[in-house]
Amino acid sequence: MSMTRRSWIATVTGGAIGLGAAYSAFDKLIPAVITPEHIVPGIATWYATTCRQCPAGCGMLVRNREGRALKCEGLPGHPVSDGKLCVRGQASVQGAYHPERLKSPVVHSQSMGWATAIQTAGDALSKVKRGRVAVITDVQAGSMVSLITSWLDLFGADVDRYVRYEPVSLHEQVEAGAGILDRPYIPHYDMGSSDFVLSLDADFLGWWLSPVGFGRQFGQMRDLDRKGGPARLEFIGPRMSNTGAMADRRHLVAPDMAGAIGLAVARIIAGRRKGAGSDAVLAATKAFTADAVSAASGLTPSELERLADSLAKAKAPLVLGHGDLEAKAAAMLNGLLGTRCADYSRAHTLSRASTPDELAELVDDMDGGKIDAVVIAGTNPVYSASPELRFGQALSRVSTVINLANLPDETAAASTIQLPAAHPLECWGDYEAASGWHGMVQPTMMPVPDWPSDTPEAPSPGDVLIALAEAAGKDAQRAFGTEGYYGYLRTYWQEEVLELSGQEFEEAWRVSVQKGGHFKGRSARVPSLRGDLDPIPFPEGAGGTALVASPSLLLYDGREAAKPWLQELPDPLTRTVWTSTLEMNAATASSKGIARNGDVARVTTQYGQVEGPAYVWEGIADGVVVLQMGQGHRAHGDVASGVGMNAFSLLPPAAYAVAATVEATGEHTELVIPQGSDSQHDRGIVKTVARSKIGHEEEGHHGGHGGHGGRSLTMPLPEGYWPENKHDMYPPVEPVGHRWAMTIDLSKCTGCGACAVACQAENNVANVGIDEVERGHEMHWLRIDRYFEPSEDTPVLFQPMLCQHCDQAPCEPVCPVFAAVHNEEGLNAQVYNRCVGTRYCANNCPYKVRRFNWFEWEFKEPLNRQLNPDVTVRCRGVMEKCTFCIQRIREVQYRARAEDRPVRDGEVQPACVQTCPTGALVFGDLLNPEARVTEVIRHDPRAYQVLHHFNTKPGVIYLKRVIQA
Amino acid sequence: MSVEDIREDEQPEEHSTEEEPFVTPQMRRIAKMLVPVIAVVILGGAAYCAYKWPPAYMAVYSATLGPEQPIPFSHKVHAKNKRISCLFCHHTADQGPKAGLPTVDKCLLCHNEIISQFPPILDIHESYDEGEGIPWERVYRVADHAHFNHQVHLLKGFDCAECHGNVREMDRILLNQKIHMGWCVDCHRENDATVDCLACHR
Repeated sequence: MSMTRRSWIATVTGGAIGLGAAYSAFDKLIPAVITPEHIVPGIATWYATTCRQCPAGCGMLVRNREGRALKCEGLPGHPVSDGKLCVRGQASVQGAYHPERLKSPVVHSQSMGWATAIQTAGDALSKVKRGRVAVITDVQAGSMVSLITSWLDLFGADVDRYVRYEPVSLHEQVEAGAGILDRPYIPHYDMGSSDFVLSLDADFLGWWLSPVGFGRQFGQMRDLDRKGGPARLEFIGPRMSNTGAMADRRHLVAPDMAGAIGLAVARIIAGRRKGAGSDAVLAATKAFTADAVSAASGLTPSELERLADSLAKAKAPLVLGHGDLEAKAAAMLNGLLGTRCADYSRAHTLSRASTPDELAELVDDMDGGKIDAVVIAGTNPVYSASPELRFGQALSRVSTVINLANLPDETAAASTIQLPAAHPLECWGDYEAASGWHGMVQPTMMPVPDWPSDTPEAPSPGDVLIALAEAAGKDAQRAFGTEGYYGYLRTYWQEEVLELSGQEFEEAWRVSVQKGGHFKGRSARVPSLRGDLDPIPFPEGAGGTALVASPSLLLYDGREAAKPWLQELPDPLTRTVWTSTLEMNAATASSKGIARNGDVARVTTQYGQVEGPAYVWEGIADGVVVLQMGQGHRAHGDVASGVGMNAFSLLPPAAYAVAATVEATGEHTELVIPQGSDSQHDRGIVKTVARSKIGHEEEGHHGGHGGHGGRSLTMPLPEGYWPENKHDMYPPVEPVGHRWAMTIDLSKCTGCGACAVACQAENNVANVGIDEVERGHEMHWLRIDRYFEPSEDTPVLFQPMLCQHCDQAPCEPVCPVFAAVHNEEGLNAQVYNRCVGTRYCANNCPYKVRRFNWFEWEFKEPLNRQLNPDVTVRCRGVMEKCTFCIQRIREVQYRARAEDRPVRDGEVQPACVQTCPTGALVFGDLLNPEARVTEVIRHDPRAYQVLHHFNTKPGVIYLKRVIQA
Repeated sequence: MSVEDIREDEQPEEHSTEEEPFVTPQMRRIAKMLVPVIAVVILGGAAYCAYKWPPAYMAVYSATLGPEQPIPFSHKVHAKNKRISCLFCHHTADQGPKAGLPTVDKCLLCHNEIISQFPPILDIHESYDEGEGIPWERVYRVADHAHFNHQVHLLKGFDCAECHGNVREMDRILLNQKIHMGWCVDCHRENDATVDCLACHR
């Protein structure tokens, strides 16, 4: 028999497969020695804990599979986050599995074992004279504060030697509360029930205070079915942040002017009312007459009147302000209006951060040689303290600097002893998000084997401190008990939190660990103005250009910069990746000689200088340059070092704006922006509708067969097909059991990107690095498109874009090997093992949501331990895309089958839907008449499909963004 | 000089009339001696491989016995003679996707009392004391890109034997059925189950 081409291929591949099969069939199976309790292999265990990536303190559920923490999700029932999570919370697993984590302690640049390192540090500490020790941490609330206070006491140091340093401390909120409302703390805000929210530069949908909690409340207040209709949101500030983009009306003004406007509005309202409060406000805001503020800010007096009217008329108004003057204005307005949306019975924990003065005092003492040893944990002041403080220089005068950071950073590099403590996902702890809301932090994963090298478990920061006290010869047992930090934590909870004893305590403790904390109820307390208010001076106009530094939604104050997921996620507004930009509007840019995006500008302030690419867009006030915080690290590992500019290097202590000179250098760098165009080119991809016109508008083209009420919507079901295939190339596919569909409410999508990172964590989506993003090789299954519109009402539009799971999918008929096929439940399946990489499907997809693996992407050890075992890791040459989290659908289906019941509506939640803080995304089964998606898709007049005229019949249905003029 | 002379001159010397063969008899003798050596090397190599990787050899070609295991565990003794349920040891088979292997302490649950001094049981004791799992040879393997779920199949009423064969008659567990997609799909078709790609491939 002669050998044909076909038989040759068959023989060779058959042989290869045979060899492969023979090879793979003989792995070892090594069971555990002792049966782990409550673990079923292949079934996830969930642990409730508290997110420690920012001071908000959201509750978190961590999925653990066979000892590995795979993914973080929101903790349902938690008073702050209630089941939702932001980008940073989603990315916290990357901190635990970071490839650059220190594996063992480093003493004077020399790696050593834990026992020796602790002994060396203890010896150094024992030689320190009484009272010459200090501790610097990030903001803490709970057992750690008490532990550190006692620890300092052992060394004879005062409480004020403990600095809870936050680069973005929001201390001006505390001051405003003290000066105006006699309440020196940040309250708990609840805008869910508000009907008018005025934000004075407070980007509460981005990073401010508690973005997940605010996102959740924003979803509630923008609910169209809410009693009284959706609430209004207005924004005044120098940069159109996510909050500004989602506002119904916004004014871009110079720094401080938002506060001035707020005070002028307060003055107008006070002028109309009688009472002691009004008199006090009038006296305090003498300088802020409507005319003066109008002249300085550019807002017309009638606009100020209108704002005052809206606030005065609102039943539950709320004003939030970020910045010194803005915080005062917000406190004054909230007090004057007696809002019930600010609850002063609870203090947000950021109120407990040390003031900038306290840090400055400590730095003075360090510099003056009054401190011999300092312990730094969870914070990076060498990077984030203002150059004016000269923190690094002061630190170099301290002979023993002990750092508990487990990733390399600037402060760790300046430390003499590094004791890499455990990540919050690995150890015990607690965090009180606001008074009475005691969150529990518990180990959610097994320590990475052999790592850190010679300890069975990475010690928590508390354990390290206790061990240090012991090694220094102090009576640690008397101060902290004999059971280490875990024992100390339990005692603290027994005495301070639960206030129970014996069996009752054991039961309450067990429940607290299981539920993620202990949350005490309190009766709300509304704010009221002080009788006497100090007059507030009118802000001096700086003149010239101002630099505004804004914390980043993705990297916050820079503590998240080492996480590849967050570096590669495009910035919500500029859409740039792996960089930071100097944002300015076209007028400012042209006055500085900057012509286009990527032209390099040099910004000089009295404190420092940076050079970097400009990003020109109309979301910035005239004469303002915005630089987001978080980038510009020098020694923060391979991921973050050398990326972008450090905003802190330009700032005075505790301020967000500073006078600056800006000039073009004449150079140009190409910005990497994955999104092709900022404009929709009139394609109607993101649709808007005026609130008064909902249900009454005419569509430009007919709704197609199966369309309802003239909407651009065709049901992704057999009913959406024309009779006799009149306009359809292929016959309908009858779904079996389910037809999964998703609705996305564009009125609620704030563009925060939590969905995109959740998707990446759930589905093993690779990071590719800036060079590959530049070549268009990014792998995000779910992206958020941001469009600029020449519109007063909606200048910025966000749209999550993922596989649309079309019923007539253009990708399917072009696949030569049937790798892109229709699933019986209405999904577009991508069968990786069939895919041969022709990329025809991606070419034919009008939504551009298919991603091709151009390379074998690396999941660097031990980041590979985060990979979801329920999802295949795709290799080079394979197309991939959103699966609607098929593994989560199957998990629920199997569970329902085991319990012999149908799948309930809302039970299946893809990762993006699960995490969306505002609840913009809803997922369900179109064949279930009771499902929320069915109700919305069949009856909501706002429902539409993107590129409906292609007749692809998508299963992802968008709801038009509502304009409230 | 005549033509003959020239011819005569061109006549080769006597000793060079017979061209020396490429393969000399000596070499042939050596080659003959080498044949058994090569054969021994090849057969010995094969034997060594079979010795070194017996499971690979056994599982593919053995008709009666599965790969040799680190402990001479007999499914026949346990499942047939002692009538122990499969789920006693593989206890998560009806709870989740993976059937689960018994942990070392589970073996000792009985064997602390039963034939506790039998040498292989002493090996198990040693494994327990040292805290090291027993490296069983894997017999069944589903490819990484296919996700099989034991629970769902058991709930549908399938007996373990439908896929794993008559384990009660096997001493060393033997691959009853090569795990390939065609076999899965055939059974799904016969039983009117889904043949959706996403049923297994995710």
